[in-house]
Amino acid sequence: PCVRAGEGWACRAVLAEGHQRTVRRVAWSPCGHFLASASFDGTACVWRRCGNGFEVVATLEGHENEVKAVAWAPSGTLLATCSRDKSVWVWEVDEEEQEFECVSVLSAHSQDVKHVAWHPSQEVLASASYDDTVRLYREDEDDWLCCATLEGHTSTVWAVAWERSGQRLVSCSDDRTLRVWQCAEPGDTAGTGTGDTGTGTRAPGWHCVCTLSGYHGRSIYDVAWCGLTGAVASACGDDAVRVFHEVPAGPAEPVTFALLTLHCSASVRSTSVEAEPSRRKSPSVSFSRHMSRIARAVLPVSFRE
Amino acid sequence: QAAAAHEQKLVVVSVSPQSRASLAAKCKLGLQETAQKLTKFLKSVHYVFDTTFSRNFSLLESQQEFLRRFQRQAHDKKALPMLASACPGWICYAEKTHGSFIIPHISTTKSPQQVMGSLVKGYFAEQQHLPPDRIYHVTVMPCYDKKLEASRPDFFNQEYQTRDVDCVITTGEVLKLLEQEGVALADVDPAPLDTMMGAAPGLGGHAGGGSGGYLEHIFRHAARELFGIHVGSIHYRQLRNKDFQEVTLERDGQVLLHFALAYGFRNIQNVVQKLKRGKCPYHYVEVMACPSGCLNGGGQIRLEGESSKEELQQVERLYRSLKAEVPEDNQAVRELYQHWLGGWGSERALSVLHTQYHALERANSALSIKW
Repeated sequence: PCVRAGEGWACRAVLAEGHQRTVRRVAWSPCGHFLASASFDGTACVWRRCGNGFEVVATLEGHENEVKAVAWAPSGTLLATCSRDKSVWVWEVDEEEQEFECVSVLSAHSQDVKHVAWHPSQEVLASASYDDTVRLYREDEDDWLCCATLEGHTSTVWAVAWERSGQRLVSCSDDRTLRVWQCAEPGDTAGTGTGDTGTGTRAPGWHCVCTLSGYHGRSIYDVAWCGLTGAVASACGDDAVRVFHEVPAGPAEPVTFALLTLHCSASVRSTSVEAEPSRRKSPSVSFSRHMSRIARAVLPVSFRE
Repeated sequence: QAAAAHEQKLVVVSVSPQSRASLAAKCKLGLQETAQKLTKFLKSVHYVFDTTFSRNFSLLESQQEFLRRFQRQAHDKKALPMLASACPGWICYAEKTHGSFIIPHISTTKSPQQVMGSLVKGYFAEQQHLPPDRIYHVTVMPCYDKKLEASRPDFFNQEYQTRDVDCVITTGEVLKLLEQEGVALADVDPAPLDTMMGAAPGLGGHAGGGSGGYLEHIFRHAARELFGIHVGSIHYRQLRNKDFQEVTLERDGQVLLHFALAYGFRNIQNVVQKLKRGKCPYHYVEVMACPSGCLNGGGQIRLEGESSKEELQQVERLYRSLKAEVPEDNQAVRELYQHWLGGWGSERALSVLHTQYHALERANSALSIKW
């Protein structure tokens, strides 16, 4: 099936009055009534539907420079932002006041933080950074702390995505690999410990259980994990979107993923998606219209579910 | 080592009480012993002072500044809330991130480190019959941001081309020095303590916690001077977390004074946001960048084997163990105001003991976008 920009999609609103610089990422709240936007102007805005448009209900200030990402926790009462200032901030909504208060400033990374993503069901946060690591955070008494550092990538980690169960994470990097991480104790998503110890060891904490290398020709800028089928999609600087499916394996066997490649043509005004014939029934990958302007660079990827 | 490098100069080291408490906890000594042994260890330098002395000036000036601001709040919307100025982590962040909006609210009173700089390169230099550039002034501080503070252009003496504070070392860096020399502080003989003027007093402290006690001193002083109320012990009410607390002075159901402590950036952020929305209820906020305050500064010694909470509590216990003195009662401080600063509230006192801030313009070049 083809998805062409312009067909079946109409621009409903242009939100031009909130930011002074590049808008880097947007995120819908779980309830769908609010939209958060992260900007290079150093702020994140929260918008609410208002008639045919949207109005700003809050501006989250405090980061020292460009905000790279914003994400809503599944409960809808927490937001996370991350920035080139190396920090991750957690904000809480005050329902009555319709205000956002900063609950924690986490400075665990040593470099620019590119992305944040919440666990699908728990208040556990993951972040990806130019310092080559993924970090996890959880609440502890009256503050938040970094409870795990996932090391293994050899260059900037651009994004992370959680598996629907919350037991695994996938990260994508400048080093052209995807890495799948798993927590040794099921349910212990907030366990401590660091990453890559190879297969066979069962130390508690997060480990890299699968590294997909050799598939991508350039930096991988975004990754998504389908909540329905378990497929993993990547957006790469080599002009391709790739979808991987996990190969079924027994509990003691290593984790592997097999590749299903979808190509983007270089003339990106009309992008087409061709599936391998045997895979025609796979979930479709949706492309933002925005993507056509970025072409080889940042390429947001998400599953339409 | 500083002395070796600057043989022609008189070397003075000013030690902060927070650094001393951290060293005492690590070396398992009392505060007095630590002060005396540290003095001995540091002495290839000429003098070792305690910044508790200069803190008296910061507290007195802050108290007075608050009264001035309180009294002009009707016609100056930026007078209140007044925000503390002793923490350079907070100051640098405020200048960079909030700029000209927040600067009018920040107290102009210098920090104890910088007051000490002015005293050492000013009063003390004169007493020693030396120009300021013939003194090399080192401070020992609980954090790294104090190095940034010392390097501010506002604290550079143009006439003599010398800084008020030439070098800042952290508590941890002092420990490294001890280790490099193979010296255990406990084994060092005690030396008598130096003072800038007058006879050597015992070690003293100030009420109000490990970050200087600004809230408590300003609160008590304002209560007395503005409302004639004598405040005994101060009751704190914890808000969202342990680093955000408030204090009120009430009479007949009316709130006369409403102060807060805000430590750590998450709390600083919330205070600034309230301020921006015109919803800040406080007259004064003691703002500090480090959660749990200066005793928990980034340059303090991390003890091994104990949980960090316990080690911090030990440092706090030691710090609190000194008798609290009242700045107004310090004889040496009064004399300095009278004889060197031109009198209490004089133009010279204001010029020597206060500073200013500068909003930082952010680079906005589209060419430098990094995704």
